[in-house]
Amino acid sequence: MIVRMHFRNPVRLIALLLLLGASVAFFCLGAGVWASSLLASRRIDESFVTIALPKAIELDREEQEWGVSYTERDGISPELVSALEGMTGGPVKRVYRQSFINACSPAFTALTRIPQGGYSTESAQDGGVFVIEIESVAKAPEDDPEGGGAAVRANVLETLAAHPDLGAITKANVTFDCPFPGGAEKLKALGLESGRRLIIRAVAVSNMDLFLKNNISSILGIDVNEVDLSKISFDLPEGALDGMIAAHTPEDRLPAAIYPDGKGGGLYLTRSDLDSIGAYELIVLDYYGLYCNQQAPQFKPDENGGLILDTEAPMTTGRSPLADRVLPAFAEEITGDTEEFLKTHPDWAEAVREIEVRAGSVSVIGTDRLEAVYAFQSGEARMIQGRSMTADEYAGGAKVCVISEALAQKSGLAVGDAVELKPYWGTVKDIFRADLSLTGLRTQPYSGAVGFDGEPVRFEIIGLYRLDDLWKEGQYAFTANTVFVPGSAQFREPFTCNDGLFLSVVLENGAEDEFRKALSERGFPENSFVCFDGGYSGIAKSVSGMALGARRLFAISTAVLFAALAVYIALFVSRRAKELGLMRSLGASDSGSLGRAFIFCLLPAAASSVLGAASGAALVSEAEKRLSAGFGALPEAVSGSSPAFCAAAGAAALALFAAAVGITLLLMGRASPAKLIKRG
Amino acid sequence: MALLKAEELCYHYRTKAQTVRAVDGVSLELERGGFYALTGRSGSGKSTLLSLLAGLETPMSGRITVNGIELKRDVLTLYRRNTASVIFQSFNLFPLMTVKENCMYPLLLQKRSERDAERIACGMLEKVGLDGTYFKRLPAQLSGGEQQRAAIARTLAAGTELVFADEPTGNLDPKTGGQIISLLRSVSHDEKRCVLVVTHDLSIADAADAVFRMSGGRLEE
Repeated sequence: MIVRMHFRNPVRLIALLLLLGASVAFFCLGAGVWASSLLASRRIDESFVTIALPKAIELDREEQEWGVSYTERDGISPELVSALEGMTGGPVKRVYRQSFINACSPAFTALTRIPQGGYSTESAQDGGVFVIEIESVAKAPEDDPEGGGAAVRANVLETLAAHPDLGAITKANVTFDCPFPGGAEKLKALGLESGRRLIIRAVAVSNMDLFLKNNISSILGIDVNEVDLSKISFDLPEGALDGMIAAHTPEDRLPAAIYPDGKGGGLYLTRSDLDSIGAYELIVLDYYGLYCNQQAPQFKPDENGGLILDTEAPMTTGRSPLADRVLPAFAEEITGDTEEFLKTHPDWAEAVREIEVRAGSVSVIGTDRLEAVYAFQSGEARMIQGRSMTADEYAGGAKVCVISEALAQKSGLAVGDAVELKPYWGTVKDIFRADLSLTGLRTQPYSGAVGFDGEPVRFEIIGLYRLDDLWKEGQYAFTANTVFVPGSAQFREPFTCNDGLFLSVVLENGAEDEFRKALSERGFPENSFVCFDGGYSGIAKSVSGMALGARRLFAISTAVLFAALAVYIALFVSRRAKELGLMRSLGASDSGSLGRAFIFCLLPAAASSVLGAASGAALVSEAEKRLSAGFGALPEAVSGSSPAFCAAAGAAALALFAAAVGITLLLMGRASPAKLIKRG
Repeated sequence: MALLKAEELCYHYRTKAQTVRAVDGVSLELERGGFYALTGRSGSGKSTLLSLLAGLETPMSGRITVNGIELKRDVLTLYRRNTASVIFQSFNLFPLMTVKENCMYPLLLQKRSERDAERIACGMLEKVGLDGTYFKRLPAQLSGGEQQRAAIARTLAAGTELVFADEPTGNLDPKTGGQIISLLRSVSHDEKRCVLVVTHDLSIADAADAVFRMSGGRLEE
């Protein structure tokens, strides 16, 4: 009956619905846009990561009598790290540590590269063990107190170990080098002469054929894959040698053939160039290059579960004795069956194993947050399959990893596969901090003499990332031969430590100035960090403007809602006094009369709230579209939640109406029936 | 025993200028089947006394007993629902209820079934001269006389022993007023209910079994 009563005064009902409905719709619009802006701001904030990377090297400027001197020093100190952690909650969200180690896995076939204008594989994958037969001696060993060198042309009879990317090697120019006193004698003892069979351990293998192709492609401006050496012509055009002083030019430097450019001309090739066709250059260096015990860093656990440099641990200094720096297997005459030879010569078997290990060598970076690694933050690297590591995995040190798409393809691996990573130190132990920051995070070559450092650990591949430049060089750059694991999953001590150079600071978006000011207040140079915000500063003003506008709209809509409520109470609810008095005069109880009046008053408010919320949702949806259009690339960040926001706002408005009506009626209902009737 | 007995009723209220003794030590008795008139000048306290007797106000002092039971706050609702009802000068019908719904309302409060309530309400409306064509009309669609008849029908339909009427003919023409007074008189005499009418109309006072005259909040001897 109460509903019917409202319809008996349609004009008043419509006026109420319009007044309350419009105000609720406006309130929902304000609340919805405000909530959307908060959500959008949060999502925008989440989608941008601002990082600050410490500058590796600081220059101390000092006035001298003769001028100004600059001394390099480490830009990171324990005090700075402590200060950064003290800024957490201010401009700094968190200080993330990333540590670096080497590891190998038989499941990996590491990627190699041909550097621009170069011809070598990646150093960690370089080298090989070959059986050669000397064809001719290009340079015989000469007496030299500092060491000895020699060169031969040879046929490669067997490749005992080499990275698969090197392909089939049949012909090679081999250079021998023994850079220590007595080296020449050692080379002479090899008896380098035509027809002699040697087993050699090359520390570097260069594809001369590819080098020649690279030269031709770069000079003629064509793709290296289009270079076809079968097009080489030995019919030199007439007058090709004109202008050259043949008498003073070595024969192997004179034009001997021409590679046609297809336009009637071409590129002259020398005898030396022609010798490169199908040939490799092998460097056989009798020097291990070990600096194992110069200043090996010692680590201890820190309070956060990471590792810090143990400054109190004793450190050994001084170089290794000469014996440790000379290869146990360098070059040696071989006769008979190769397999039998390896069985009886364990040093050579170890040399073969070393090269095999190198073929599966990768860098392993333990991180507290993948997105805080510069390349991921800048967009140079991005996840393309599977997922990144979760907060729980970071915290719990889960044995999961993310590898590059290129490494996965090359190794025939996919998300869900498992790999066993076996850690090792490499050939150097003491110069990592500087090297890692300045030269990038490159895999160190495995050394059989140093060996492995720990048992293999099984990791599950949970995601693949794509790197724009597989071989980018420079500070903090890493190659596609890099595996990311949770920092706390490090399975042995890393090369880097938390007061080292390899850490990144995630800042609150837009807090770069505040960060620099905080640095300055703590006595550190403002410019000791390089900040990257991934483009956040470009939209920061828009985000801030959007939030301010949304807040204002919400404030205005709330004021309008309260104004409508005041009108509703004054012109409708308070006028129910007479009816309340009449009901009581006819015998209605206090609670019964109040309940009936409450329902009667609230019905239009409830209907208005529902209609207003629905209208508000439509308005917010439209507003969100316009907001999204303003942000272009972020439409998904600010849409989709308006029905929920508006329902909540509508419910809040209805609760406000109900409270106001209830309080008004309760206050009114304290009067006697006679007074209520008179008041009406 | 008197149906209603009021003893030394007082009701004062304050205005900005003074304290008004609207009812000041009034005592009276009303018998079952009596038709009483309460007269006096404007401001003499008639309507206030009626409100006190009808349970619409609570006296500041004094007491009212009905059928020997004292009217206290806790029984007022039941008193208004089952024992006493009021006819107001300005009709006071619920504006958004039809004539029939207005008449049914007090009956529904008495927990009567809807069917019973409808039957009684319709019968009473016809008795006051409003036939079925009026039942579904809203008060605003009736004339003043018709509204007053509807209001009387609502009061009488409740079947209470005590009926208080506050100038029920004040807004009616003499002919209609006469009909209303006849109706009230017959209700008191035929149905043995007690009717107290507040009025300025001397013809009503003449028709009453007893007349109370008020002046300055007191009943004149």
